[in-house]
Amino acid sequence: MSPSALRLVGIDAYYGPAQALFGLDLEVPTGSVTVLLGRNGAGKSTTMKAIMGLVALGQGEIEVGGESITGWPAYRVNRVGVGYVPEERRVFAGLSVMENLLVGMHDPDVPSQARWTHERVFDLFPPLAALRDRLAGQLSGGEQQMLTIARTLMGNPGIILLDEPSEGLAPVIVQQIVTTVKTLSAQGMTVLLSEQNVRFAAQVADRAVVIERGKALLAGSMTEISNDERVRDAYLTP
Amino acid sequence: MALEDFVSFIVAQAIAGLASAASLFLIAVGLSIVFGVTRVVNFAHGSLYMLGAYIAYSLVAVMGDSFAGYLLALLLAAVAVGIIGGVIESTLLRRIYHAPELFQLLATFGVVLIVQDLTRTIWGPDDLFAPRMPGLDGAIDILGHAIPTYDLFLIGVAFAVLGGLWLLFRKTRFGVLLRAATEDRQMVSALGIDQRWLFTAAFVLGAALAGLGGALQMPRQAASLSMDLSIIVDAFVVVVIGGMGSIAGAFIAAVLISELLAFGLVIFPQITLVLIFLVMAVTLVLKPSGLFGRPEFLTAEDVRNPDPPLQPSDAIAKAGWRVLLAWGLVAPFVLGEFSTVILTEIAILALFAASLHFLIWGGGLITFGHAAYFGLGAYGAGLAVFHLSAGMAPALLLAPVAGALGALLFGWFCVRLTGIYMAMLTLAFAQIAWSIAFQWIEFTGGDNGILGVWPSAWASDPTVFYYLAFLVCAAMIWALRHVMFSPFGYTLRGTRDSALRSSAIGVDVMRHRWLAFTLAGAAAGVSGGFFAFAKGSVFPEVLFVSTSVDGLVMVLLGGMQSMAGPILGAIAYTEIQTELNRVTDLWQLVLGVFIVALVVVLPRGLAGLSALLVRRRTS
Repeated sequence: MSPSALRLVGIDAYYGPAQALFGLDLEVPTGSVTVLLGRNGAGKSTTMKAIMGLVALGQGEIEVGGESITGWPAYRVNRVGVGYVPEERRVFAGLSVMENLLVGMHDPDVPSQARWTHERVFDLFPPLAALRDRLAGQLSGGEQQMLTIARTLMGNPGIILLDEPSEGLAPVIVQQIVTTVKTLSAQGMTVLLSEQNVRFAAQVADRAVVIERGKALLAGSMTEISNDERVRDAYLTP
Repeated sequence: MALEDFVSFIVAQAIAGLASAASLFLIAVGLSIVFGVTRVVNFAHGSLYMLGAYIAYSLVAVMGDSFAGYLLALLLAAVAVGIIGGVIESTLLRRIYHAPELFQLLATFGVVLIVQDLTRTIWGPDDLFAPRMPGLDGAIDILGHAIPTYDLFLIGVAFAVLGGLWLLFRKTRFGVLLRAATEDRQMVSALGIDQRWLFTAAFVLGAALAGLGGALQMPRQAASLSMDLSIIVDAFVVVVIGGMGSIAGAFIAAVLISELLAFGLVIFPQITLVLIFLVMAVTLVLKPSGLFGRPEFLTAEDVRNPDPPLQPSDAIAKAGWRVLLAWGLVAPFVLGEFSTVILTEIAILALFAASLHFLIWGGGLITFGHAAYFGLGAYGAGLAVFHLSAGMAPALLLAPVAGALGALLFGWFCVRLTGIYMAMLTLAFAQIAWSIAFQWIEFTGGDNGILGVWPSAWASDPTVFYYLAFLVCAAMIWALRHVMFSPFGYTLRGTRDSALRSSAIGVDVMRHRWLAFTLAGAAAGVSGGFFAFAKGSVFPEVLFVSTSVDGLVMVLLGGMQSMAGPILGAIAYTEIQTELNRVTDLWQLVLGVFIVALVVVLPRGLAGLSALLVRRRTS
């Protein structure tokens, strides 16, 4: 069996003196779409930041494809193939759409036919093509969400971390994101996403991990988890 | 005819102004680029400019016989300074990117001191004049005025650099990365870009531009050891007006300032400085982030870790204060009459440092120009004696008034800004006060200072004067400490920890900061007044940036988190300086290395060191 794409063992993470993750374990199988479920402040975003090296770590081990990346700076984590799409989108507002993509692009050890280019990205997100010279700060929320995903894809990641991709977006756009995630997964990419919206998660994910107070509470297949009574009570509002 | 004369005069002045704007633009834009990417305001940027001038001088002497050789010498000087900048970045700045802004400013000021002494050692203390540039040493006639061709060359270079930078930032991946990093460095890193490489590259670029600016000045003015600090203050003004991180802003503000100077000097030379000050003030009030700057956003990365709350003294601390007080009272007898001069100075500087600590630690207000209020106090007392033949007592009473009034005026502008903008504005105000004291010879005596500021007969005995200074300064320090524990002090500390939350519960943040500023100004004024009588004279140096830095080093040395810090710092710093002066001529070099080491190795000061030792022992 091939090693997990991503594995976290007993991770502690801190914001200054405040501890946010308490021995969190997580396993993301290669090729899966895994979703982190949990309330606001449960530690979903922190988990992603911990993987990217953007928060201070205490104990624990992080592995990508069996290789330890614990304590690496963000740019090195990115270069072993982990792409990060942050929660607040964080496009470079003063840069055009094309320039945003240019920042994300780098020459990887990927065969040229599998490589992401402007054209391929615009095929995935047709609306962006017409906006290529527009400043990112002038885009709508949905367009910015597409741009951040596109920007991350330009780095040719094997694993993509999507932090609350449906947050604050109109239902139509959320459906587009669903399609995008399915497309990426079909192309062989491993996806880890965090969500509060279980309905959205159920449409795309095959595995789920429930996080509460900085710990992984439950892990299993999406069907298992969404049928779990505790999860239903906590997250599936009628 | 008269109209023609007028037009040709305007054109000639405008061209002269543009020529001066060229170098100012080169240095300001470099400062701005480096700040945009690394978030460090590099005080030593003026030193790089100075190095550019000195290196160009030496290269021109070797190869400057022809136009091409001269040009090559200027370019090589820029390259050399770029390399020096790269060395400074990778050895020093890289270690302090995560340090608080104040520490970064101090560390780079340490570099200023080091470069000054090294430059003096290599090129000597005298001003150096380079020959004119072959082929550009004449003048051409424009509307009846002889315009130096070199001035036109300078203007051409400025536009070429502006165009080149525009291309770099718009059309190359490197430029796009720099712009992206200016917006969100963390995201750039998460997208796979190694920041270290980007930071070094930005710094080398900025340093080379500063070096070019300095080299280009060689045919126009002599290379001197004072050009580093004078240009950096001008550059701060330009960057504050134009907006941090903006290339167009640096260009337009440099032109604005230079034209104001060019015309101001002809029309009303006395108030030129005031004019610049007014432009800056109006800009900042209307647009606090400068003409083209973006407002600073607080991101999660920037939120400061709140300091541990100030505790009322426990039994040990109370005993410590009593010991300090008792020692102050008996010291003249124990150490002998000879030591009272130094003891007096320590008492005065302890109050100065305490007033600075009150602002920085209590209010979270980063000031780099606290010398202004110390100096205003000293000048207030000195001028009262000199012009009004006032006695010591009324002169000493005037000192805090002068300090407070200055702080009231300057503070109104400064508290509108935060962080690094505030630091630069406070510095600019202090330098303006310094240049007024320096230039207004009829009133202040200029460089010759005010002499004969001696204590009244009853306090003329050094021991008596020491007790007077000690008791008043100790009372003032106690009062400052008392304020820190008053409702006002609690509110002030609240605004420090979170300005946003404080204003959300109805606190007028600016008013509290303004009041704190004024209060600290008055306290600094008291110490300045005593300083004048202790020395018997007042010189413009009391207002100079080095006095502000002395205060900051004392606060830092003593440790920020303790109320006793500034006092311990004043004692240690005065002793160190006295000893250093005795053993070496290169005291600036030693002090610079000391400051850099202090920031890098011991950012929590002596008090922090002792806390560290205690923790080690207990764990």
